[in-house]
Amino acid sequence: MTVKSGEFVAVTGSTGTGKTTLINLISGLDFPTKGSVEVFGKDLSKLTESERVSIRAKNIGIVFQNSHLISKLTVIENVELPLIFSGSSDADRERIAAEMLEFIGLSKKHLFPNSLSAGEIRKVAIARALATNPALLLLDEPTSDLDTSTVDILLPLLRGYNYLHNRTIVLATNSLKLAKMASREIRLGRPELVVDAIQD
Amino acid sequence: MNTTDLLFRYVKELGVESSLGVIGAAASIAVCLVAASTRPMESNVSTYQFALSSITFLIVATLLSLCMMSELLLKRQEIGILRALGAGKRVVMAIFLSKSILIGTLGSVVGIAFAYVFTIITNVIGQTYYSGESILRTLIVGSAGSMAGGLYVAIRASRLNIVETIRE
Repeated sequence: MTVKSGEFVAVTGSTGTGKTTLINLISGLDFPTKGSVEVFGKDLSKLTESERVSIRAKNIGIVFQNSHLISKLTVIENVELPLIFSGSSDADRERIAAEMLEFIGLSKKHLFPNSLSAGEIRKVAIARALATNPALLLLDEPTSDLDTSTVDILLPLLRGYNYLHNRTIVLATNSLKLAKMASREIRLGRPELVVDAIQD
Repeated sequence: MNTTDLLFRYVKELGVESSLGVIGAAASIAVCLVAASTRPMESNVSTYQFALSSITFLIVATLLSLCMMSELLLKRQEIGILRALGAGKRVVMAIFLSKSILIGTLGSVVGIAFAYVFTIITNVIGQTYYSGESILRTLIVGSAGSMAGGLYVAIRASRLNIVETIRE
Protein backbone atom coordinates (compact mmCIF):
# COMPACT_ATOMS: atom_id res chain seq x y z
CA MET A 1 0.00 0.00 0.00
CA THR A 2 1.45 3.36 -1.00
CA VAL A 3 0.21 6.84 -0.12
CA LYS A 4 1.50 9.63 -2.35
CA SER A 5 2.54 13.02 -1.09
CA GLY A 6 -0.44 15.41 -0.89
CA GLU A 7 -3.05 12.63 -0.89
CA PHE A 8 -6.03 12.57 1.47
CA VAL A 9 -6.61 8.91 2.32
CA ALA A 10 -9.37 7.49 4.47
CA VAL A 11 -8.70 4.14 6.10
CA THR A 12 -12.00 2.49 6.94
CA GLY A 13 -13.06 -0.84 8.34
CA SER A 14 -14.98 -2.26 11.24
CA THR A 15 -13.61 -2.40 14.78
CA GLY A 16 -10.55 -4.59 15.19
CA THR A 17 -9.44 -4.54 11.58
CA GLY A 18 -6.28 -2.63 12.42
CA LYS A 19 -6.94 1.02 11.61
CA THR A 20 -5.26 2.29 14.79
CA THR A 21 -2.41 -0.21 14.34
CA LEU A 22 -1.85 1.16 10.83
CA ILE A 23 -1.71 4.73 12.20
CA ASN A 24 0.76 3.58 14.89
CA LEU A 25 2.92 1.86 12.28
CA ILE A 26 3.03 4.91 10.01
CA SER A 27 3.93 7.17 12.93
CA GLY A 28 6.73 4.83 14.02
CA LEU A 29 5.16 4.21 17.41
CA ASP A 30 4.76 0.51 16.59
CA PHE A 31 6.69 -1.93 14.41
CA PRO A 32 5.45 -4.51 11.92
CA THR A 33 5.99 -8.20 12.69
CA LYS A 34 6.23 -8.78 8.92
CA GLY A 35 7.05 -6.43 6.04
CA SER A 36 8.23 -2.86 6.35
CA VAL A 37 6.90 0.69 6.67
CA GLU A 38 8.56 3.48 4.73
CA VAL A 39 7.76 7.08 5.57
CA PHE A 40 9.29 9.89 3.49
CA GLY A 41 11.30 7.18 1.71
CA LYS A 42 12.88 5.86 4.91
CA ASP A 43 12.32 2.39 6.34
CA LEU A 44 11.27 3.18 9.92
CA SER A 45 12.57 -0.08 11.37
CA LYS A 46 16.06 0.69 10.04
CA LEU A 47 16.23 4.12 11.66
CA THR A 48 17.63 4.76 15.12
CA GLU A 49 15.27 5.74 17.94
CA SER A 50 16.40 9.38 17.81
CA GLU A 51 15.90 9.52 14.02
CA ARG A 52 12.32 8.20 14.43
CA VAL A 53 11.68 10.73 17.20
CA SER A 54 13.01 13.51 14.98
CA ILE A 55 10.76 12.50 12.05
CA ARG A 56 7.74 12.31 14.37
CA ALA A 57 8.48 15.67 15.95
CA LYS A 58 9.13 17.60 12.75
CA ASN A 59 7.15 15.90 9.99
CA ILE A 60 4.21 14.01 11.49
CA GLY A 61 1.15 15.35 13.28
CA ILE A 62 -0.99 12.85 15.17
CA VAL A 63 -4.57 13.17 16.44
CA PHE A 64 -5.20 10.28 18.82
CA GLN A 65 -8.51 8.49 19.18
CA ASN A 66 -9.04 9.97 22.66
CA SER A 67 -7.35 13.31 21.95
CA HIS A 68 -4.96 12.78 24.90
CA LEU A 69 -4.37 16.35 26.00
CA ILE A 70 -2.09 16.89 29.00
CA SER A 71 -4.44 17.93 31.80
CA LYS A 72 -1.90 20.00 33.75
CA LEU A 73 -1.16 22.22 30.74
CA THR A 74 -3.42 24.94 29.38
CA VAL A 75 -4.90 24.74 25.89
CA ILE A 76 -2.18 26.90 24.33
CA GLU A 77 0.57 25.02 26.18
CA ASN A 78 -0.80 21.73 24.84
CA VAL A 79 -0.58 23.13 21.32
CA GLU A 80 2.98 24.34 22.02
CA LEU A 81 4.19 20.84 22.98
CA PRO A 82 5.13 19.54 19.51
CA LEU A 83 6.75 22.91 18.77
CA ILE A 84 9.01 22.46 21.81
CA PHE A 85 10.04 18.99 20.65
CA SER A 86 10.58 20.06 17.05
CA GLY A 87 12.97 22.79 18.17
CA SER A 88 10.99 25.94 17.34
CA SER A 89 12.35 29.16 18.78
CA ASP A 90 10.87 30.67 21.96
CA ALA A 91 9.48 33.62 20.00
CA ASP A 92 7.72 31.44 17.42
CA ARG A 93 6.10 28.91 19.77
CA GLU A 94 3.41 31.01 21.40
CA ARG A 95 2.65 32.90 18.18
CA ILE A 96 2.21 29.69 16.12
CA ALA A 97 0.13 28.03 18.85
CA ALA A 98 -2.15 31.08 19.05
CA GLU A 99 -2.48 31.12 15.25
CA MET A 100 -3.39 27.43 15.21
CA LEU A 101 -6.09 27.92 17.83
CA GLU A 102 -7.44 30.84 15.83
CA PHE A 103 -7.38 28.66 12.69
CA ILE A 104 -9.55 25.99 14.31
CA GLY A 105 -11.76 28.63 15.94
CA LEU A 106 -11.02 28.24 19.64
CA SER A 107 -10.53 31.31 21.82
CA LYS A 108 -10.26 29.60 25.23
CA LYS A 109 -6.48 29.31 25.03
CA HIS A 110 -5.68 29.82 28.71
CA LEU A 111 -8.19 27.30 30.06
CA PHE A 112 -7.29 23.78 31.15
CA PRO A 113 -8.62 20.82 29.13
CA ASN A 114 -10.99 19.68 31.91
CA SER A 115 -13.10 22.80 31.38
CA LEU A 116 -13.60 22.17 27.64
CA SER A 117 -16.32 20.24 25.83
CA ALA A 118 -15.53 17.05 23.85
CA GLY A 119 -15.67 19.02 20.60
CA GLU A 120 -13.33 21.71 21.91
CA ILE A 121 -10.88 19.08 23.21
CA ARG A 122 -10.85 17.48 19.76
CA LYS A 123 -10.23 20.88 18.17
CA VAL A 124 -7.23 21.43 20.47
CA ALA A 125 -5.89 17.98 19.56
CA ILE A 126 -6.16 18.89 15.87
CA ALA A 127 -4.50 22.28 16.45
CA ARG A 128 -1.69 20.50 18.32
CA ALA A 129 -1.21 18.09 15.42
CA LEU A 130 -1.11 20.96 12.91
CA ALA A 131 1.21 23.19 14.96
CA THR A 132 4.44 22.07 13.32
CA ASN A 133 2.83 22.26 9.85
CA PRO A 134 3.60 18.56 9.37
CA ALA A 135 4.00 17.03 5.92
CA LEU A 136 1.93 14.06 7.13
CA LEU A 137 -1.17 14.33 9.30
CA LEU A 138 -2.48 11.13 10.91
CA LEU A 139 -5.94 11.15 12.45
CA ASP A 140 -7.38 8.24 14.39
CA GLU A 141 -11.19 8.41 14.57
CA PRO A 142 -11.16 12.21 14.91
CA THR A 143 -14.95 12.56 15.02
CA SER A 144 -15.91 9.50 17.07
CA ASP A 145 -17.34 11.38 20.07
CA LEU A 146 -18.45 14.58 18.36
CA ASP A 147 -21.88 15.96 17.48
CA THR A 148 -22.80 16.61 13.83
CA SER A 149 -22.33 20.38 14.00
CA THR A 150 -18.77 20.06 15.32
CA VAL A 151 -18.00 17.46 12.66
CA ASP A 152 -19.31 19.88 10.02
CA ILE A 153 -16.85 22.50 11.27
CA LEU A 154 -13.86 20.15 11.41
CA LEU A 155 -14.28 18.52 8.01
CA PRO A 156 -13.67 21.65 5.89
CA LEU A 157 -10.65 22.44 8.07
CA LEU A 158 -9.04 19.11 7.23
CA ARG A 159 -9.96 19.34 3.56
CA GLY A 160 -8.60 22.88 3.42
CA TYR A 161 -5.35 21.85 5.09
CA ASN A 162 -4.88 19.06 2.57
CA TYR A 163 -5.82 21.15 -0.46
CA LEU A 164 -4.28 24.54 0.38
CA HIS A 165 -1.06 23.33 1.99
CA ASN A 166 -0.68 20.19 -0.17
CA ARG A 167 -0.20 18.08 2.97
CA THR A 168 -0.75 14.34 3.15
CA ILE A 169 -3.59 13.17 5.40
CA VAL A 170 -4.24 9.60 6.51
CA LEU A 171 -7.51 9.35 8.36
CA ALA A 172 -8.74 6.24 10.17
CA THR A 173 -12.50 6.37 10.52
CA ASN A 174 -15.75 4.46 10.72
CA SER A 175 -17.70 7.45 9.47
CA LEU A 176 -18.86 7.17 5.88
CA LYS A 177 -19.39 10.93 5.75
CA LEU A 178 -15.76 11.51 6.69
CA ALA A 179 -14.46 8.80 4.38
CA LYS A 180 -16.30 10.35 1.42
CA MET A 181 -14.32 13.56 1.88
CA ALA A 182 -11.04 11.78 1.17
CA SER A 183 -9.65 11.45 -2.33
CA ARG A 184 -9.07 7.75 -1.76
CA GLU A 185 -10.49 5.10 0.53
CA ILE A 186 -8.62 2.07 1.80
CA ARG A 187 -10.99 -0.44 3.37
CA LEU A 188 -9.40 -2.86 5.82
CA GLY A 189 -11.03 -6.21 6.43
CA ARG A 190 -10.36 -9.74 7.57
CA PRO A 191 -8.45 -11.78 6.67
CA GLU A 192 -5.96 -9.38 5.06
CA LEU A 193 -8.64 -8.04 2.75
CA VAL A 194 -7.81 -4.57 1.57
CA VAL A 195 -9.99 -2.65 -0.88
CA ASP A 196 -8.31 0.39 -2.33
CA ALA A 197 -10.62 2.81 -4.18
CA ILE A 198 -10.08 6.20 -5.74
CA GLN A 199 -13.02 8.51 -5.06
CA ASP A 200 -14.36 11.56 -6.86
CA MET B 1 6.57 27.49 27.36
CA ASN B 2 9.91 25.80 26.67
CA THR B 3 11.54 22.52 27.75
CA THR B 4 12.61 23.99 31.10
CA ASP B 5 9.06 25.20 31.81
CA LEU B 6 7.74 21.76 30.91
CA LEU B 7 10.22 20.09 33.27
CA PHE B 8 9.28 22.57 35.99
CA ARG B 9 5.57 21.72 35.58
CA TYR B 10 6.30 18.07 36.29
CA VAL B 11 8.91 18.65 38.99
CA LYS B 12 6.84 21.12 41.05
CA GLU B 13 3.94 18.67 41.32
CA LEU B 14 4.65 17.29 44.77
CA GLY B 15 1.95 14.73 45.48
CA VAL B 16 1.62 12.17 48.28
CA GLU B 17 4.38 9.96 46.81
CA SER B 18 6.80 12.89 46.67
CA SER B 19 5.96 13.95 50.23
CA LEU B 20 6.57 10.41 51.47
CA GLY B 21 9.88 10.43 49.60
CA VAL B 22 10.92 13.71 51.28
CA ILE B 23 9.90 12.40 54.72
CA GLY B 24 11.69 9.07 54.17
CA ALA B 25 14.87 10.74 52.93
CA ALA B 26 14.74 13.28 55.79
CA ALA B 27 14.35 10.53 58.40
CA SER B 28 17.26 8.47 57.09
CA ILE B 29 19.48 11.54 56.73
CA ALA B 30 18.62 12.67 60.26
CA VAL B 31 19.40 9.25 61.72
CA CYS B 32 22.68 9.18 59.79
CA LEU B 33 23.69 12.62 61.01
CA VAL B 34 22.82 11.94 64.64
CA ALA B 35 24.63 8.62 64.48
CA ALA B 36 27.62 10.25 62.76
CA SER B 37 28.03 12.65 65.66
CA THR B 38 28.58 9.77 68.06
CA ARG B 39 32.07 8.43 67.77
CA PRO B 40 32.59 5.02 69.39
CA MET B 41 36.34 4.78 68.99
CA GLU B 42 38.62 7.48 67.64
CA SER B 43 40.62 4.97 65.58
CA ASN B 44 37.53 3.78 63.67
CA VAL B 45 36.00 7.16 62.86
CA SER B 46 36.53 7.02 59.10
CA THR B 47 35.25 3.42 58.78
CA TYR B 48 32.25 4.32 60.92
CA GLN B 49 31.46 7.41 58.82
CA PHE B 50 31.87 5.46 55.59
CA ALA B 51 29.55 2.68 56.78
CA LEU B 52 26.91 5.20 57.86
CA SER B 53 27.15 7.11 54.58
CA SER B 54 26.87 3.88 52.56
CA ILE B 55 23.82 2.70 54.49
CA THR B 56 22.17 6.12 54.13
CA PHE B 57 22.96 6.15 50.41
CA LEU B 58 21.33 2.74 49.94
CA ILE B 59 18.24 3.68 52.00
CA VAL B 60 17.75 7.00 50.17
CA ALA B 61 18.30 5.35 46.75
CA THR B 62 15.80 2.57 47.53
CA LEU B 63 13.23 4.99 48.95
CA LEU B 64 13.52 7.36 46.03
CA SER B 65 13.30 4.58 43.43
CA LEU B 66 10.08 3.33 45.10
CA CYS B 67 8.72 6.87 45.30
CA MET B 68 9.55 7.65 41.65
CA MET B 69 8.23 4.28 40.54
CA SER B 70 4.79 5.12 41.93
CA GLU B 71 5.11 8.52 40.21
CA LEU B 72 5.84 6.68 36.95
CA LEU B 73 2.81 4.42 37.37
CA LEU B 74 0.60 7.50 37.75
CA LYS B 75 2.13 9.32 34.79
CA ARG B 76 2.61 6.45 32.32
CA GLN B 77 0.02 7.73 29.88
CA GLU B 78 1.29 11.32 29.93
CA ILE B 79 4.82 10.10 29.31
CA GLY B 80 3.53 8.02 26.38
CA ILE B 81 1.73 11.06 24.94
CA LEU B 82 4.84 13.26 25.26
CA ARG B 83 6.93 10.58 23.54
CA ALA B 84 4.34 10.19 20.77
CA LEU B 85 4.38 13.95 20.21
CA GLY B 86 8.13 13.86 19.66
CA ALA B 87 9.71 14.09 23.10
CA GLY B 88 13.05 12.29 23.17
CA LYS B 89 14.13 9.83 25.83
CA ARG B 90 16.31 12.54 27.36
CA VAL B 91 13.31 14.76 28.10
CA VAL B 92 11.55 11.90 29.91
CA MET B 93 14.70 11.03 31.84
CA ALA B 94 15.21 14.67 32.80
CA ILE B 95 11.67 14.85 34.25
CA PHE B 96 12.23 11.89 36.56
CA LEU B 97 15.85 12.63 37.44
CA SER B 98 15.26 16.27 38.32
CA LYS B 99 12.24 15.42 40.44
CA SER B 100 14.12 12.67 42.24
CA ILE B 101 17.09 14.96 42.97
CA LEU B 102 14.72 17.69 44.19
CA ILE B 103 12.99 15.27 46.58
CA GLY B 104 16.33 13.87 47.81
CA THR B 105 17.84 17.32 48.36
CA LEU B 106 14.70 18.59 50.12
CA GLY B 107 14.75 15.47 52.28
CA SER B 108 18.44 16.03 53.09
CA VAL B 109 17.88 19.67 54.12
CA VAL B 110 14.88 18.74 56.28
CA GLY B 111 16.83 15.80 57.75
CA ILE B 112 19.84 18.00 58.63
CA ALA B 113 17.57 20.57 60.28
CA PHE B 114 15.71 17.84 62.17
CA ALA B 115 18.95 16.23 63.40
CA TYR B 116 20.25 19.62 64.57
CA VAL B 117 17.06 20.41 66.49
CA PHE B 118 16.99 16.88 67.90
CA THR B 119 20.47 17.16 69.37
CA ILE B 120 19.75 20.60 70.83
CA ILE B 121 16.56 19.38 72.53
CA THR B 122 17.87 16.10 73.86
CA ASN B 123 21.53 17.03 74.31
CA VAL B 124 21.97 13.31 75.06
CA ILE B 125 25.12 13.00 73.06
CA GLY B 126 26.50 16.19 74.48
CA GLN B 127 27.00 17.80 71.12
CA THR B 128 24.73 20.38 69.52
CA TYR B 129 26.98 21.42 66.71
CA TYR B 130 27.73 19.74 63.40
CA SER B 131 30.79 20.54 61.37
CA GLY B 132 30.36 21.93 57.89
CA GLU B 133 32.13 18.82 56.62
CA SER B 134 29.58 16.38 58.05
CA ILE B 135 26.67 18.48 56.78
CA LEU B 136 28.20 18.69 53.30
CA ARG B 137 28.90 14.95 53.30
CA THR B 138 25.29 14.22 54.30
CA LEU B 139 23.96 16.52 51.57
CA ILE B 140 26.17 14.80 48.98
CA VAL B 141 25.13 11.33 50.16
CA GLY B 142 21.43 12.34 50.08
CA SER B 143 21.65 13.89 46.62
CA ALA B 144 23.72 11.02 45.21
CA GLY B 145 21.30 8.45 46.66
CA SER B 146 18.32 10.26 45.17
CA MET B 147 20.10 10.52 41.82
CA ALA B 148 20.85 6.79 41.80
CA GLY B 149 17.26 5.90 42.75
CA GLY B 150 15.86 8.36 40.22
CA LEU B 151 18.17 7.20 37.43
CA TYR B 152 16.82 3.65 37.57
CA VAL B 153 13.21 4.89 37.21
CA ALA B 154 14.18 7.50 34.61
CA ILE B 155 15.71 4.79 32.39
CA ARG B 156 12.59 2.64 32.78
CA ALA B 157 10.35 5.62 31.97
CA SER B 158 12.29 6.41 28.82
CA ARG B 159 11.88 2.80 27.63
CA LEU B 160 8.10 2.60 28.08
CA ASN B 161 6.17 1.11 25.18
CA ILE B 162 4.45 4.20 23.76
CA VAL B 163 1.53 2.35 22.13
CA GLU B 164 0.72 0.42 25.33
CA THR B 165 0.80 3.52 27.52
CA ILE B 166 -1.45 5.50 25.16
CA ARG B 167 -4.01 2.67 25.05
CA GLU B 168 -4.33 2.60 28.88
